[in-house]
Amino acid sequence: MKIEFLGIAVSLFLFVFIFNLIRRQKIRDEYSLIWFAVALFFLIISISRPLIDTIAAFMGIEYGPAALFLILISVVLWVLIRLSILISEHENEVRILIQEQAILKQKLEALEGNAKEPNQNKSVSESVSESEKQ
Amino acid sequence: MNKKILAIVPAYNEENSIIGVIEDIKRHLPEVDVVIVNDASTDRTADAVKSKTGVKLIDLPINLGIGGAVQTGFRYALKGGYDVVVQIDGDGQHRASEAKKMIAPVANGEADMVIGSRYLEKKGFLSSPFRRFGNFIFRIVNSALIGQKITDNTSGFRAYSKEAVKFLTRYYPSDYPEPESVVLLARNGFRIKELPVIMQERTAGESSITPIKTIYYMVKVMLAILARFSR
Repeated sequence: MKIEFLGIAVSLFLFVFIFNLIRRQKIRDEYSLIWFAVALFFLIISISRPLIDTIAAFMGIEYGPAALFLILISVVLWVLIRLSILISEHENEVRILIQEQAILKQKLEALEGNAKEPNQNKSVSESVSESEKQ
Repeated sequence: MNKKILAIVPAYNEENSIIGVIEDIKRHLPEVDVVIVNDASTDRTADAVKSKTGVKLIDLPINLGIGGAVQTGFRYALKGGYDVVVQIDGDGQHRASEAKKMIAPVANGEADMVIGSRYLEKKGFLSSPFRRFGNFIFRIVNSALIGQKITDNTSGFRAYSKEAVKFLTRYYPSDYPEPESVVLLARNGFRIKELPVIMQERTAGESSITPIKTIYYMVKVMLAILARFSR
């Protein structure tokens, strides 16, 4: 009996926590939905003990909690793979931005250098000491 | 040859060798525009480059690795409308005097990528035994996959056509890009040619690749090669 209360308490906390994250726009809708579904699943499972046994029986697993673990691990794995894809996409986008920014900076500095011709060519020692001052 | 040519020099912590490399390029390839891509060096590479006139410096704010640095050069070449791009490493391994013969086949439209190979004539500095073994593996695998003998898959001394540059601006591997890009380009119908070159041992600094890293990269690059092949 105790474990069921604990389960409900934890799932409720997760539910509220994720809802709050969405409300405060801390996570993008797409991912919040996944976690929302996970929290909801937790809650339903902890309220209705027989449900997990039915699911387990359907999957051909005798021990209910084992089925629960299998489902949860699968979901977590799926979410992690999704996140890996997302990170790779972001890395790619960031790389393009870095490259474009660096090229633009070069062009900007070339333009500024042309504008004030006299001190165009600094010696190494000058620019080194300048960078040390900063 | 009235083609617009750009030399891309990727440099990460090469304060001791970069000036020599720039002077070498200026001496042997005076008609070529030079762009140094400083990959967020922690030493004074940028200051060393700024002390030289007639070269452009692109300062990456964040370290992108050799692939990301070279790709910055490709992006720059694409915007500038260059016909031929030649990559010359900032560590002094590649001699600009050898670049001329590599540029020619690309400028004449005979090839999309010319690789400067250490192993065609086996002269000069040929890299450590451990890395030569890695090279041997890449030679077997890549040559079999693309049906063309490529002897030096890890050489970064390369000339590219405008079309190849355009293609590689869209996708170029981040680290250890050379062997993968051979398969990538070949699989996409680009013509590859190898020419013998003599390389020097790095004039200063340390190679960025240690033995343990080499094994890690071998596995990683093999996976990438197979991925490019089975696209």
